[in-house]
Amino acid sequence: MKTLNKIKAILFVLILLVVYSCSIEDGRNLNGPQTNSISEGLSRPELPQVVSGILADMRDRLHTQRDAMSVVGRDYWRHQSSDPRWTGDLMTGTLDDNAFYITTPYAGRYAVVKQCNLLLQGLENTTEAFTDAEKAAIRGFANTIKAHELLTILTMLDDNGIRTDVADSENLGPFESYDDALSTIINLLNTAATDLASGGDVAPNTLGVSYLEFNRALTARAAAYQGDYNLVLTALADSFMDFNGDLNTGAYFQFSAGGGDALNQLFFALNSTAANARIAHPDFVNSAEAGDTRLGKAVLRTDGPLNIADLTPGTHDVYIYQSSSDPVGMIRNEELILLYAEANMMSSPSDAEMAINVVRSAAGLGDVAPGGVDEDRLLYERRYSLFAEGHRWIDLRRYNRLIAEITIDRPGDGVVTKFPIPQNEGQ
Amino acid sequence: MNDTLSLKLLLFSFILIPLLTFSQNVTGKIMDGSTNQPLPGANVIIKGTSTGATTDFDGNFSLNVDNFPATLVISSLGFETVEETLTEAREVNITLKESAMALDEVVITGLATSVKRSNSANAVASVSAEELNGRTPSQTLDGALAGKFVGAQITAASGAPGGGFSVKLRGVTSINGNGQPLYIIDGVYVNNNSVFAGGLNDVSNAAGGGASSTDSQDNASNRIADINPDDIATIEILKGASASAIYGSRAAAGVVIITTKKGKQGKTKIRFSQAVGWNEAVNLLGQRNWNANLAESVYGEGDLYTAAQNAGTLRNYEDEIYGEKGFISNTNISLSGGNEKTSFFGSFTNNEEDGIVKRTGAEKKSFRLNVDHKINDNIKFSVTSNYIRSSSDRGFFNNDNTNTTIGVSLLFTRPWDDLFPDSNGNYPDHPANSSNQIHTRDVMTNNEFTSRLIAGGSLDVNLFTNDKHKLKMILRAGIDTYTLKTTVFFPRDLQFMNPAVGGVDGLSSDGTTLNTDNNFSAFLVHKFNMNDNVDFTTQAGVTNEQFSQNTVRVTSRGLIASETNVDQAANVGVDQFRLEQEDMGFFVQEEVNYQDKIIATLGLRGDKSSNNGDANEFFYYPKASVAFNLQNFGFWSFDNVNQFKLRAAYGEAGNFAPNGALFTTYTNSIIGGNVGIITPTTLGDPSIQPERQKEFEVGLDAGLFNNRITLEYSYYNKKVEDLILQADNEPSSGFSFRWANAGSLENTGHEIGLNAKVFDTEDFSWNTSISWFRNKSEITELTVNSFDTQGFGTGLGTFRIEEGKSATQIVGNDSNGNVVVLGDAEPDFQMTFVNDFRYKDFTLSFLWHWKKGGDNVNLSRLLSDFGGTSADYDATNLDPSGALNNGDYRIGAFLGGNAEPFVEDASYLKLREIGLYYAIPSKTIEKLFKGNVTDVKIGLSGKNLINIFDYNSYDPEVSNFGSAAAGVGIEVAPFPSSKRFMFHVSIGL
Repeated sequence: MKTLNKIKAILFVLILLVVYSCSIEDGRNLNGPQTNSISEGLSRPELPQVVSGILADMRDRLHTQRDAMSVVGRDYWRHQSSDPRWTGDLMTGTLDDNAFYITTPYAGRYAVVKQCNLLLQGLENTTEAFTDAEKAAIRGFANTIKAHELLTILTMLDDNGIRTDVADSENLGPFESYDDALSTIINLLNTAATDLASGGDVAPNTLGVSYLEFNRALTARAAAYQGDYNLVLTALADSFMDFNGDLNTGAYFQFSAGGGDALNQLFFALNSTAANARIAHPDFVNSAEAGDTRLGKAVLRTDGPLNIADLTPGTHDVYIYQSSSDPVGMIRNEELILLYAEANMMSSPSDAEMAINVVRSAAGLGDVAPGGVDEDRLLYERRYSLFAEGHRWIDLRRYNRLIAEITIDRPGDGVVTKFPIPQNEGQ
Repeated sequence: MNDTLSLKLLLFSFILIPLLTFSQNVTGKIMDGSTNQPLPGANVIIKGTSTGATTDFDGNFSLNVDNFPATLVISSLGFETVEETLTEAREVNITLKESAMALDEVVITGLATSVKRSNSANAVASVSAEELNGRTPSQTLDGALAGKFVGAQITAASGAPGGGFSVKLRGVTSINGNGQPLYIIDGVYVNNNSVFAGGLNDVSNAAGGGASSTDSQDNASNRIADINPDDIATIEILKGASASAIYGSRAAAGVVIITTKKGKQGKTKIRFSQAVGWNEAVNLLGQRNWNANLAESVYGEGDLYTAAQNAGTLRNYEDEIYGEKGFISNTNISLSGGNEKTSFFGSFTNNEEDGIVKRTGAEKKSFRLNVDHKINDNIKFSVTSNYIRSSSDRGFFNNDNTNTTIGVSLLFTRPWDDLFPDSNGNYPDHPANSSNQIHTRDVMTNNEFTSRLIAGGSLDVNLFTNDKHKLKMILRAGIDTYTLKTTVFFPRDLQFMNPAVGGVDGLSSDGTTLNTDNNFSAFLVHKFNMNDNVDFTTQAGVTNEQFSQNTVRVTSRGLIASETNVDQAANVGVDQFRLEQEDMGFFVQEEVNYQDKIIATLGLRGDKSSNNGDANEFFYYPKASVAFNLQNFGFWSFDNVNQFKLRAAYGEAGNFAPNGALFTTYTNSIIGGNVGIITPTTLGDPSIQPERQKEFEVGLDAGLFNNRITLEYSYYNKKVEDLILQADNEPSSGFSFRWANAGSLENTGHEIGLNAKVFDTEDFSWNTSISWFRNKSEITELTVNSFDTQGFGTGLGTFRIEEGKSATQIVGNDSNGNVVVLGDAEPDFQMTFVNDFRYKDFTLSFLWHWKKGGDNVNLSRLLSDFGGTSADYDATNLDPSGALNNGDYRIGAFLGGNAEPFVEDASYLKLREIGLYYAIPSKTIEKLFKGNVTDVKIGLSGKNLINIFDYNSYDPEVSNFGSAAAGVGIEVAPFPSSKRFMFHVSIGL
């Protein structure tokens, strides 16, 4: 009996010893680097991968964002038979603050902002011997991209405002008003331009123009939204604007079919079925001046019109990209020339005419009559030049013409003036 | 302290000097009546004393008796107790009959011990081999459990061959963590992962519409489907922490303990059984009532309709796709037997089953060998091993955003569409959709192939035995290793693969998962009998589990010719997922039994894991329980009530955070050949802790008229604290979700089981049982904002986690645009009704299963409305105002953002199983086979033969999101479920 108790006691103690003495290794994540590997100190080999990641992620949900903005701006109708919110919410104007058309682009853009912020933190904490010029270039790159992402979100949410101070995930800054956020973005761009001017470019760069040129072009766009036409003109001077150059020169999102790369989901083949279609709005097709070659962005369906969601039969497909590896413009020379026209419309009408005529001649149209550049003219040219690139809705809004010019296709349809703040922002 | 030696010495001394002592020696042999083999471990006690002995492995015992006459009480778990009166010393040979009482079963309560069911403080559900597979065979183990015990909600995700089930025990136990129970087969922890195939989502883009990309919508099967139900002897289900606490940090969702068949000493028995049959769709919906006018008004294609009508080519495409009768063949051969030292059970099973869609189906080959060997009287060694090869072709179904799955494409197909190949074998493009489902069905591949070995070994050593003490050591090791291959292939000539329409020019995906799980454990069990009044059972042990998974998926696009090799392509993409985890734990448990009157248990488990923030921090899970058998007390005076037990149990158990929840890991990207890293959508939490479940259960078990009627009632309350949530995060932080311990939930429920042996005569018997159970859940605390789990937003109906609300509530917009609760996936109650009849050599047995209430989100109908093909499109029973037909009403509701029509009652009444068997009388067999055959049984059976429901689709039992912890019950164009008809022959040699 006693012996047994001893045996028992010894064995139980052994068990406890085994358990407490054997330590197991902390779990490791085997499936990729952790975010703090960058934010706690950027190394030289990591730099191109962070930059490339940012450029790649800028494409995330681009198609959803472009589609959403093009539908509310009635550039085209988007139809997807497995998700009719395209012809529902976005056209009736009753938006859901938890629906994909706002939540996914919003999250996608802020994910890129986060990556820029992680890069900036990593640069602060780096022990790598980056030169001051290199550091300036990296800062300039990160802030330029950040500004681009914030601006596209701001244009969607409009006077709902956005957060711009989001570097600390646990301590987000407040929602700023539209005007404040726009100023923040422009300041960010201007600071970034100074950095890029002193530091030069960062590799890799898949845009097609230097980061500084891209920065200046974007600054011109933002300044136009702000109505600061002086800044538009000074920024354009340092950008890639070229009255004699190809209107398609500019900064692009790149796509390819390569493994791991992304495809251009804004491409649909001609004569797409109701399953997935982008149908040019009839008003776009019908309102063009005779001979406007920009109408070629909408191609007559040879299989006949598509009957979708009680909309007037769609006769024309949107056809801007010819394959799923075509690049998509972020900002093109054509827009810059139009910005130049806009900035000069009041102060220097002849310059504005000159610029408008550059665009019109490329579209196969004659010059405008002297003194003919007004809001109507400008908005017409912008509508046809920047068709399906997400501009018309913003333009009509900033010129207070949304209600007047958005075509109501069906009874019960309405006008979207801004997208809601996503529900999960907790606002 | 060699007990054997002392016993031999004792025997020896008795033979030499029998007359020198006053007491006399009584020896004997106890036999097992069911096998006619010696019964080891039986207790022989002199009534009224504490003197007794235990039979050895040969059934022999030896005992000194001081006074005659004396009465020996001979008992053994699972056998009826026998009393034998002795007037003098003599040899006592007794055969014990197996106990027929359900309440005399043994249930496992510790990792290494069991207790008589009549003494258990928990309502442990048991499913016998006969109940599991005896009426009619099921395709998978989890499917075979449906309706067989109280407290479970078992839902088939779809009818796709190869399985895919969600098993929820006593409600939702986790929101974003694992909600499926732990499966342990013969001591081996068995892996039940679902591994999704590469390539399917690339085509369907199911996760592209805004549903969380962490949810698998590709309908992968779960790996418990590999287990062959034919091999199983018993299943015990620990439904919550009060029973499963001893399993610690993997046991919060319950534990399913499976024991496979073992050989018995004696003549080698051979059993051959063959079943053949077919399956067919449970419920096809039919077509819209088309005519030329309708075709003209909806599509402007009246002339096409008329042309097809005249040519006789109007087709019912639902029938073309789902109208197949799938052939089923199950073959099983088993051998069992053994001698004094060694016994074995071996079986081979070959199951083949075609699906109700052409080119789908499942097949499984399973080989098992279980061997038990006694090294000597005190050391026993046993090995179980099971090799499985399974393969399933699962087709292409469920949600998509490209109209390419067979299920969705069908909903957009009109009878006059011509989708069949011409004489050269060329398939036309679908005129109204982006894919031709006939073509897709005929050429695409979606295969899961598994080669799996599950093996375990255990060593039982009796360290010490005397009449009061027994100390035993048990060592166990188990391994579950498998290679899972997923093959997905879409040839280039498919309509949606054409680059001209944005296709990727053929897609081939080859995924390989190597998974190896090991578990090791060592236990000590000490039994101590004090003064014949109190029995103590002490157990302690250590456990170690290791998990390793490596999944590599290669997905190629732009195929060369239509080669399937993934290197024969323009663009090759690879992704890999690895997981390594190690858990370690210990436990101690003390069980006290006072004369079978009061049985109390106290236990503690401690666990640590590399999956926790601090790998070496222990988490402790206590348990305590007590049962009172009132009928064993002196005051009990109701003779007809042979058992009346009150019981209460409390326990805690854990649930790990999903792997990766600790980390915020970059994913990779490529742009223009530059590799890059991008942030994930979910922010990790390095300090995350396991979820903790605290369950309290009370109940009573009663047996009347010698257990002819038995009643079991349980009430439970289980709280889950530190809920691991993939909560919404402000997306402006860069992360849309974050992992956090951020809430609590509570489940309460009642379970009632009533069993009656109505008739029990030589020629006729009737056994009936009814069970009823319900569960209610509530999110009692949420420290993050309420958030949606599975679903597609409030415009369509979505599961939402919200404080103060049910964990399975479905919310959506009402007709006024307000977000309101539209339903709840939790049933009001479930009920099962089982009857077993035997008349002479015939047996008839059936199982009805009624699920009352519980809602689904049915989006299939909306999709077919969009396609204009809903069978009830033109009916007018939905619109409250009666103005619109159903199709227009649903579309109108959708356009108005009103989710009301999509949340449907998913109640059902199913004849789950029915079996009619005839055992050929032994006389006839003797005449026919001259003693070479011992028994022959033939029979007919069916599964899900009758299905009554008001749900507007194929089957209310469905889940687009597979076995998601919360949020089962969303339907998007699934693979329809099927009913099965089988014919059986079984021959025993």
